[in-house]
Amino acid sequence: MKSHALNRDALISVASVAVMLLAWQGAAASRLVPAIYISSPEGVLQAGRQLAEQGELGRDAALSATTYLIGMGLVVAVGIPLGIAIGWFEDVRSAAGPFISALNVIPRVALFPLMVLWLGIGMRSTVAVVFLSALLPIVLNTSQGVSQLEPTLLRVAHSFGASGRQVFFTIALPSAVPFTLAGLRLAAGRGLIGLVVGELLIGDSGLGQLVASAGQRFATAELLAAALCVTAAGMAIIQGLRSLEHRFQAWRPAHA
Amino acid sequence: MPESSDLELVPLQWNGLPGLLAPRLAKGGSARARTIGTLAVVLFFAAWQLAGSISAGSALFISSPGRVVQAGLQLVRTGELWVDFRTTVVSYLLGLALSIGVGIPLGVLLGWYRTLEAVLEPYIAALMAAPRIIFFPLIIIWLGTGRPSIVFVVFLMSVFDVLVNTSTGVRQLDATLIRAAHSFGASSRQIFTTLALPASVPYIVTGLRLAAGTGLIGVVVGELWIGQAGIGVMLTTAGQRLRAADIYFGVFVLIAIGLTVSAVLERVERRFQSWRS
Repeated sequence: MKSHALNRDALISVASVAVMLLAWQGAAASRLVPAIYISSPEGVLQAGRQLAEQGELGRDAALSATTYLIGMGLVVAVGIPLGIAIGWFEDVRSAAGPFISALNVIPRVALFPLMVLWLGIGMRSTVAVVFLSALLPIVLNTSQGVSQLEPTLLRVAHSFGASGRQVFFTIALPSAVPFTLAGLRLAAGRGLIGLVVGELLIGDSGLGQLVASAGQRFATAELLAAALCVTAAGMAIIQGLRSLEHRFQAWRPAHA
Repeated sequence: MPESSDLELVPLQWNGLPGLLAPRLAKGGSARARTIGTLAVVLFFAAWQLAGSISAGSALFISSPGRVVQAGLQLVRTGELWVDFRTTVVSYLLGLALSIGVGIPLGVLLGWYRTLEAVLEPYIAALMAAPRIIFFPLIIIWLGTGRPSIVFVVFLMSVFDVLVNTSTGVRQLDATLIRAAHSFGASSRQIFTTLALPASVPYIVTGLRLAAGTGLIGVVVGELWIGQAGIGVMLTTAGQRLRAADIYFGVFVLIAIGLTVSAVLERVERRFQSWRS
């Protein structure tokens, strides 16, 4: 009964996409809406194929991926230790609190002009924006995971005479894993925003630049082809991280 | 449709926050925590002031608190700040209003009608996962390089937070309540207005708080790219003229806007927390 309803929903979703594509093609073919505004599914496919054949799409995608991975690598390398320190040592948490809450409320992309001033116009500034955009979810989630331990486990550990160090390695770290992974998924999304903003604004490389320059030439088909590639990549990344998260779901403490 | 837990994991409520910058949140913190937080902030500004006065180069790139205050006073005196501040806030609020006007009704419909949800699901899932800001160049083709584009970017960035949280709230109704209402002969319409709407209010408020954050990203990026005035423009021109102090001042203004908005919405959220079913 339930799977029946799910099948029905999936069918409706597929039909909805098919109808939308047909309507889009129809609106474009009938010239109801000027092609410059919406292009057409056919036009987008063609533009995408052309970009791929000329190698532009591959080159820009590789550049974007490199920038993104460096930024996210830095986020993981800095964010997880920082999150652990903040979660485990109360004084570190007290000291870092004001800075974290200040950084948390501003849109990190606002720091972009500062990054450009410090690091110049280029990939380094974009990496910095990816880093700043994605850092907090990992730090906050990791620290939450390390500090919110299951009280029963803690009591058992204490009554068997476990040292603080043992509690840290056998209880705190493992139970932080699911939190960190959830943080990583959120961070991945925000890092993508940082990447795209950096590339749109600097405009010397990457898929963001491809979209921006297509926009300046009013090449809507090209613009949409590249933007849909970014959308697909975003969906793939988030979906991948979500399945990783489900895999470690059982590590989560029962009360959280 | 993403589960609500995805959104509630966003750890924006950071309890026990000590220090100068979050006095409202500091209630939970101990005296020791508050002292350390305050000390850290003071030390940070002292180190910054020192670092900024080492050489001409350091003054150019990292500036110093003293220079930032001067730059701020200058911007206030010339009236530049007020113009930029007003421009940013108006675009931001217009975009958020659009998100609320579209997001809440559509979210309610999505939560109530399963078929409609299935129809829109693929687009919502795609746009939730994608960095939506990538469609900014297309928006410029549609709406030009003026304020409408910036308002639309704010809308595009923030509407999904409102939409998804609203529909989650409507969907997560207490089944026993509905059964009880049915057995007392309540109509669908009655269930909707007396059960579904009130129960979804806390979710809607959470959505608004998240939307306030993503919308602020939208307005800043919009202004950085195509703005004619606004805090984003102030940041760009300051960067081009190598005026670090102006950049910092702009960032502090944004921190102030962000803190104010999130403090207000957190208070509203706490007020409606008990309505959760």
